[in-house]
Amino acid sequence: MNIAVCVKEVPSATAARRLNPTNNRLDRSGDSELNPFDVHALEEAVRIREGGADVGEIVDVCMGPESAQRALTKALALGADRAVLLTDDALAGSDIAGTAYALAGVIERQDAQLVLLGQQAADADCYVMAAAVADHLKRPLITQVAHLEVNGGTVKAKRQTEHGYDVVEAPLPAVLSVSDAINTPRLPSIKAIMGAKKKPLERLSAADAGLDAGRVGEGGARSVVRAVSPPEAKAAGVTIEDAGGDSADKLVALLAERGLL
Amino acid sequence: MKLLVYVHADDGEWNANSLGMLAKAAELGGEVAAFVAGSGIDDGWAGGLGGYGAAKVLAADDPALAGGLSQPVVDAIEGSAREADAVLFGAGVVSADVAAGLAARIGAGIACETTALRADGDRLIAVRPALGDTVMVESGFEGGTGVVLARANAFAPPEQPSGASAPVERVAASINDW
Repeated sequence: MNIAVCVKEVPSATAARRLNPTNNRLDRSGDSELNPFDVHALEEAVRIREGGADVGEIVDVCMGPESAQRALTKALALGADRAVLLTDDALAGSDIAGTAYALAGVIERQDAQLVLLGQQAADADCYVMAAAVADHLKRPLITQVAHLEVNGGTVKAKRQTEHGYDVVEAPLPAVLSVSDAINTPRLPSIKAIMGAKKKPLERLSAADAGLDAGRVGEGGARSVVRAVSPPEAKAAGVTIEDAGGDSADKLVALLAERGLL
Repeated sequence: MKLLVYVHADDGEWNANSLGMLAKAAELGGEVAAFVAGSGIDDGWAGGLGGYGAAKVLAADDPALAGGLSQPVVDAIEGSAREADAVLFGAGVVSADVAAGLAARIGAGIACETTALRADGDRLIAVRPALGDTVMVESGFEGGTGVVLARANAFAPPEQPSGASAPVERVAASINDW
């Protein structure tokens, strides 16, 4: 069994996030990092291997600008064997639909029986990529996986929902997104970090991946940004000042007045 | 504008986020149909969605739809979705998976984390906060049906449904074997 892990380069959590006013796209010129939610998927792939499953290779798949090779190098340090970066100016401005199509196109070429994704991307906060990729690949889908067992040709997952947990089984090949509750990722060792630079990192263009140019990039986008504006100003809050220890009573009275108690 | 609203149910209980989206769709005007999927669907139960704004209910009834999996629902809703201008989903794990799978299936754009919806002529505009809720982004759709997925609790259902009953139309569910 080979495992493909989809990873994404996102703006660093400490970087100011803004939209480029010329094209309404996320400004990615600042510091960037490996999507923290994808780190859980990478960790899970390594744990599957360490748990005794017959894993041939773990391959990271990423779509992004050339700079995304930094995130891929970090992903390689976390235990993948090789990486594939789909990078092409023609892909810039791809929406979710185009991105899922493109990722599926690359994954199909990797001979991976298990595809893992993080639950969401930290920049867009959308948690739909796994389902879209699974439909393109025509493979069973399980999302929000909080616990995973791989038994020969099947996966058994504890899926986290708003109502609690379901147990879902699926045959391989399958596509899973993992919840950030599934594991605590390890930090890479110095040896792993140094070794990552020697691991294969393949770059593919849209043409290399056999993608239909009409389905990717800004021209292929099916959802388009019409306008960007600041959020409505929030109403001022209520400040409770303590006078001789009465703040708790004041707070209780306020909450009761508003029907919250 | 033809709007199709997927209404999810767990153990016979309508999902509140789905009901909120249905009510929102009704506010926008146009033709609003609810889509429900399951096994052993009762017409009276499904027709109750008229009280939340559905002018009609499309019901896909098949044992394969009983397990709480998203992909059979994508198979079931695909045909109806292609005839709509937009397909709307309230928040939820299964709803989100159906929304995304459907968008991929029919080649539609998808607007996630939506907190507001409005009609702009015959076009639907979905609004969402982004970048840590520091900006509001308005999105539209190109090239056919659009898919909208709401943020959790973005649209509240009416406290009391109107009591109206909508006609229920059974739709065939052709479920893929993968």
